[in-house]
Amino acid sequence: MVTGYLDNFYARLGLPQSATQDEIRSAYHAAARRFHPDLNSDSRASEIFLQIQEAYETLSNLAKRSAYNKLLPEDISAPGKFLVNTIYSRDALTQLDSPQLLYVLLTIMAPPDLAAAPEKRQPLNLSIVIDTSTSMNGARLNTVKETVTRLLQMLQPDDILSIVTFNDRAEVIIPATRSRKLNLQEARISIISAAGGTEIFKGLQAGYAEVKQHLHPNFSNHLILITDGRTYGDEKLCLDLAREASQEGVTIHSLGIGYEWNDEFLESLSSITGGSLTYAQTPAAIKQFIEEKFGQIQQIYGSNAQMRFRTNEATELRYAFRLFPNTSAIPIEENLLIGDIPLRQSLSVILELMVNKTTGIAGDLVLLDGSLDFAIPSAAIPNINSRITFSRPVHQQPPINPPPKILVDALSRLSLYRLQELAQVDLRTGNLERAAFRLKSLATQLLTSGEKDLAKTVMLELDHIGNSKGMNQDAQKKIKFGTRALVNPELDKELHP
Amino acid sequence: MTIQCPNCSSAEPEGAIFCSDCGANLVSGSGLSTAAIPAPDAQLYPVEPAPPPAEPLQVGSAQINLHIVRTGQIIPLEGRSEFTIGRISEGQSILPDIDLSPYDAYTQGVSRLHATFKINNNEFFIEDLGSSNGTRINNTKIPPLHDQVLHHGDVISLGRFKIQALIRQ
Repeated sequence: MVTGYLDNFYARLGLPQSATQDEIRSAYHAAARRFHPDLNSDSRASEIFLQIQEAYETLSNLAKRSAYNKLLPEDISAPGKFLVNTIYSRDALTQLDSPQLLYVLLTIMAPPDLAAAPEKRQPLNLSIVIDTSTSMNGARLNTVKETVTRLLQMLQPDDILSIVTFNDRAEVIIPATRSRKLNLQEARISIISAAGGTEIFKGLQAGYAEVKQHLHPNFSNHLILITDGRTYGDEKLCLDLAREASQEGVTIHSLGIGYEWNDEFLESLSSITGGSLTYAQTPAAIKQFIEEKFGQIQQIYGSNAQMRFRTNEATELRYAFRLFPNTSAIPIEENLLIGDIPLRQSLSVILELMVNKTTGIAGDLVLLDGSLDFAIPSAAIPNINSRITFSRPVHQQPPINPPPKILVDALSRLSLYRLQELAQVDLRTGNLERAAFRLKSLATQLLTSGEKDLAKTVMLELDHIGNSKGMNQDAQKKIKFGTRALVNPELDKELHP
Repeated sequence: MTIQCPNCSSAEPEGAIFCSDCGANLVSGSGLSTAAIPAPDAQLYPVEPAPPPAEPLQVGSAQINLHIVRTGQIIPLEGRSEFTIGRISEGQSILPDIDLSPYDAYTQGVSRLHATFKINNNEFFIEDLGSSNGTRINNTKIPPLHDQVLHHGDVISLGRFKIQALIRQ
């Protein structure tokens, strides 16, 4: 398949099936302008451009469109296949000519009867890609090997697993297979040893090639990358590969061990596939990561959920954060990759919308309009494509009600992570004073919430940035992942008491 | 229209719920609360009213001891006319003469260089060195960078960290 498996003509234009002819026309013009080969030098642009044209040729013609609609699976908009709950921070917007903020807590879950039923689990198509550079030697690699060996015994007959190692070159230890020659496979894992450098692209490439052999929307397609080092020169190749993987519905989860790895790089690598990055300092944390991720990808109801949307001129999506599962910031792109929908819990995402100008607007303002797409691997017709719209009424003087508690609580836990994130931005842009102020506030907040050790780390870094104008790598990771761990919500309990 | 953060005065757009600069809650108004750390204050030494000095004291005969209220420890100040007090933390270039970091001074709000004790002609003074959380004598805040006289039994608070001055003439 050349294109992503969530593909259909509507999705290519970022539209729901219910779109009007006008909407189709303007979406086509916008997309065509963006991907026209004369205007866009990206090597994939011309291919995308052709796809857009193909979609428009059909959809712009009413007869062809209705013929095409008949070909689409009936339940493409899937009523009853999932529940979406939208909680806004405000009942209404104020008529203003200056910017105002609106928060949205979006939760997506399986319908209760399905979540409760012991349904057919979807088979795994998983590749574990393991760094075997010299620095992995000892406890790190031993823990990975032991944990992965145990996973072998937990696989179901229809699961596909592959194991790849890499240092300066990649080696396929276990090729993608359903066969369980446990003795042989365990022996192959036991002789993995560490030597050499860290070239992540080689590992990713080999691991992805294994996953690709069995790509199918009825599988849970994942790649788990475990590394403790920095890769040099091949970052762009890695990110390109991740983008392709994402298109094909493969999610990459990464684990960084120790402090040597490049946080920004691994974070993008995972997040552009809708996955997340975790860090581990101890063998126990390594084991926990592998087991947790393995458990989690077996309990997925909907995979690779993404929102394709258009905002209007007045609205800007400023920030997106996934609270659960795989707590992590979500990069703001045209296609917002919000991640996997767990079977018995809900996918929860917080969005921050900046509404720029609301004077002259009467009635409802549509803030964001688009489609929510994902795959339900266990369904006969896995692809879901449904419309999602956020809108709020605009009033001159709206009644002021306190925002819903569940939203305030979530934002409250998120605010510490946000402070360090913004402090990082300040540091990158050279605004030391503001960074220091934010870190100081962070330390104070951490102290009040009883996080003494983390507060101390922040205080030490405050001294540090004064001297060196940058943060110490270890501390930066400690603070980032330390505050991220505090976000981990009880949210799900509140939604399903 | 903007909202002003009650904690740090930064301007946030309407609809903001938490301050982007300091993380304070903008809707409940109770974002930053000062948490009280229970400290045993009960063990202050009872101080009898100081007898009026009958005659001029001999130079250098008086002695001051610092009583750490939380732990009951006594630190004598001897052999110098000035002692800086604070807490040692990593990477600090100027170290205080009296280090309170073993007493959990950090969480009690003691600055790295918090104050100076001065001994001059049988009188004892304290000067706050511009500390973040200030210095109090018997719960009265003292201005920074000014000498304040200390009396026997005075309770000095460095941030929340309490020390009692015990002076023997």
